[in-house]
Amino acid sequence: MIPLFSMERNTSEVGQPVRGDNVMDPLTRHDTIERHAVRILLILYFCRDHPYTPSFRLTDDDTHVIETEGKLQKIDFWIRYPDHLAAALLRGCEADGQLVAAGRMDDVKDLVREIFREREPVLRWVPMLKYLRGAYEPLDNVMVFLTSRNLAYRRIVERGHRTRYILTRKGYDAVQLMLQECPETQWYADRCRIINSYFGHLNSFEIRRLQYLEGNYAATPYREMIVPVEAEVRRRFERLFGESL
Amino acid sequence: MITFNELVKQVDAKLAGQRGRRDPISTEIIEEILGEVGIAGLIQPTGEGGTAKKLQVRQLWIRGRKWQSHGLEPIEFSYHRTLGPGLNGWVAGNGTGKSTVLKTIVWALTGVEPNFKPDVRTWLEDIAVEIDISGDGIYTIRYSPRPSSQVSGRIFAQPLDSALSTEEPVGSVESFSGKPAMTEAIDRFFGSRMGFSPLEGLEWKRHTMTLTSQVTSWDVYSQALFISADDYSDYLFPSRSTNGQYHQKTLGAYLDMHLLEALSKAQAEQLRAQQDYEFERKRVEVDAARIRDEINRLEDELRHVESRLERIDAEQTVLLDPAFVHHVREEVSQSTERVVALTQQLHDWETEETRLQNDLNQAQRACQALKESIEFKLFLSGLEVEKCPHCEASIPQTRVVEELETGQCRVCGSHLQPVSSVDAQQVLLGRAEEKVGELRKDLRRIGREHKKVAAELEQAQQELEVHGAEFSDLSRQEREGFTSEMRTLVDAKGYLRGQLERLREQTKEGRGPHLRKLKRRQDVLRAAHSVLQAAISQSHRGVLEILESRTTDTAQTLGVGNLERVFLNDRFDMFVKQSNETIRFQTMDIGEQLRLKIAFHLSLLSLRTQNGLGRHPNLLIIDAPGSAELDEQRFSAVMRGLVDLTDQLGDQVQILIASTRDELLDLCGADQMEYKQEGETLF
Repeated sequence: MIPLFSMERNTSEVGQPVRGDNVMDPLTRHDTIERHAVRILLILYFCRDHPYTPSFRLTDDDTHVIETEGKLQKIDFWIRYPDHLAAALLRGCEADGQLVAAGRMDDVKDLVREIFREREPVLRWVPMLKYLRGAYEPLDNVMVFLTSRNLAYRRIVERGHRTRYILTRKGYDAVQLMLQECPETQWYADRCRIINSYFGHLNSFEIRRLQYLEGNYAATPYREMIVPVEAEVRRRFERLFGESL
Repeated sequence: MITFNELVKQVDAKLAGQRGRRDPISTEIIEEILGEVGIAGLIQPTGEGGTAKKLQVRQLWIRGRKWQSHGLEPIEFSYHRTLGPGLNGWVAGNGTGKSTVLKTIVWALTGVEPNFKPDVRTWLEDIAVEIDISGDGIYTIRYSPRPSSQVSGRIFAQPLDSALSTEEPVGSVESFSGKPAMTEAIDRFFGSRMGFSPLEGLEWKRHTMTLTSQVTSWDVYSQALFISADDYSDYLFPSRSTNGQYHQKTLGAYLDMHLLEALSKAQAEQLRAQQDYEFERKRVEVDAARIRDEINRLEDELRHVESRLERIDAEQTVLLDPAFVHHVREEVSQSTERVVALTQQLHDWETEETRLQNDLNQAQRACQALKESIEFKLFLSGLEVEKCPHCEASIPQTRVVEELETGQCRVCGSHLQPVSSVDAQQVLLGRAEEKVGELRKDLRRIGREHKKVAAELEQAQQELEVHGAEFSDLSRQEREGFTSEMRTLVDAKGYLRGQLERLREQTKEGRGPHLRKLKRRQDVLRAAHSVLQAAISQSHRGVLEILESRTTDTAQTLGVGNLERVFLNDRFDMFVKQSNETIRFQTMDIGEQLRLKIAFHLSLLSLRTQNGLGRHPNLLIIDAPGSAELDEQRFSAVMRGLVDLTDQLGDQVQILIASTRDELLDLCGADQMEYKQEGETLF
């Protein structure tokens, strides 16, 4: 049933991330909280952790967990900045990169080519700010939305250290239905699968370290927008494969 | 095994033996050509190709809907069968689905869609085939041939039951969407696991002079695991569409022959060299007459210019032309001004283009954001608020009518806001899409202007260069008293000489050395290809002889009359010696073709299991053999041959066979057989 009234006032305002003084992109006014909520739900669904704390068990009402907010934020960043994801993939293909050893260079080449052919760094870019530990965006509003609908919730495990994000059974069912009914979710689902396939084994610190290897990312001042690295990726691709993007 | 030096020697001998050869080729040139194309590196032994793997189909599952006419509801069906090693059979009448079942397996194993009956193809919705690759693991290939001309699916490193689970499947090793993607994914998957390396090559595009690159890999090799119904005109593949060109590569891969890569390379390079030579030869021939006429014309013109210059020289007086000097200076100045103006204009257009491109990017990003927002909002609006987001306590489900009456929030009691609809976003999306259209139009216009100005700038720069050169030459011209006519004549003389020099290079005589070089290259590579072909055949003669002799024996058992010998030539085309006559396989009677084909495949299977030779996957799929071509007696002989082989080889091989004939029931164990009586269908 579609409710006639909602608890949210104006969702486009609620969905507006905190930007500080640097209003980066006038087009973020088209963002809605639903868009952010769906992205977070899909990350929880596809990029879950296997809980490693012996004392922690998912209840029957919950299905997936991501153990740290940092990891969630860093994966979110790669979805919102396809060029930074391409940069990280290409880094893995450099002389001592792990993807060379794994024989996945050709896959990466095709993938990066596809990202640029589809103009994803332009069309799929959703700007994000840099805080003390890299890309970050407050998720309070999104979690209010998801928790009130019993789709996901979060728990602070060690105050100041770790926040666990949990997908409920209802959230799991909603994602499955959404994958069938909403064609726009397919791109996000594919992107999550790709990130999981290449970087799923890394923890929050390792992903952060990888993202910090990009000079522009590391040099971005506190609370400023992280800039795209499209040109750098094109240069790196040409150096690695001898072809232009 | 042949070495590079032996290859060079044999090529040398082959070329020397060619009658009427006027252009002898030294061994150094042969070495240089073969080394240049990289054949030397491919001849060195590269080590073993890895352990040979066995492939077996363990389970098949099909789900779909039979569409009916007259607007009746479709009938849902599902089919499942567990398969074991040895002989597995289907006995049922025509049109009961036997071929469809086998073809779904063939599709999964080859990645290439077989020819289904068009109506049956539309029934299939979800197919899963569980396979066992010895020493590697159990996998499930699950694919959905929907919509009717497409296919998508995944390969899981899991048994069929897990791959069909309703949970989000994990352990997917490949995924594909579209027919070419499926072929590539299956190719990658089996090629690496079964140890079948792809071979790159070139082939002529039909009816053209162009070469296209072509890769022979698992999608070709695996076709030889399937004997289809009704077409037996090729002894190795299900049909003749491949025209025999893949016999050598495929059998070479199955028999684990070395030198295949070198052969493939030599073939490709030979074709390329042939194309280069033929193209150049034709070009020279076609151009020869035109070039000769052109040279004659230019030589006449040059003679005329030179005689006029001589006459002017004879009566020359010193002549200063200050008006001309002034004129040239003016032209240089005007050209410079024009170049500066056009450069500025070009810069302005570039800036405008960048600005518009940024606007377009923003508008397109807005469209994307709005589309997602609308879709997600519509979906999520169907989910009710169940909990307080702060304390997470459940909220009692107040009836909507009551909320409407009170107009108050059930949580805090405040006045309710109307649900935000997507109308606003729809309007914005419409505007954004409109803006995208306008910006694209503007960008196209700016692009045209940009191009126009760039062309004008180029022209202006050329003019400036000409005027600059003329200006810097003025002092000399003034000093020597050039007249404007002399200037024109000297320019014409230089131009004509340059043209003549260029044209003389293009004549038959001028192009001779280049043509001879291309011809030498073509001859060397052709000879190398032929030497390598023979070398493969000779160095594996032992294996081929066992295969030929076993095929001969088996074919005789299966009732191929008066058969003396079966043999393969260097290109691996099949011939038989029958009643003292040598006959090509393709020209045999269709019933004999079928028996010989089955005999060949059974011999190929037993070669791996009994002699440990080659890397055949030990799997054979046979669809309804010879319903029209074999009488009862011959059919029984073929079936007995199959049973004898599976008895001898035990669990080492797997044969899947479908037939309309009940005789198969007597030869196959009941647990390995699916039988349908008249009127019954498989699904």
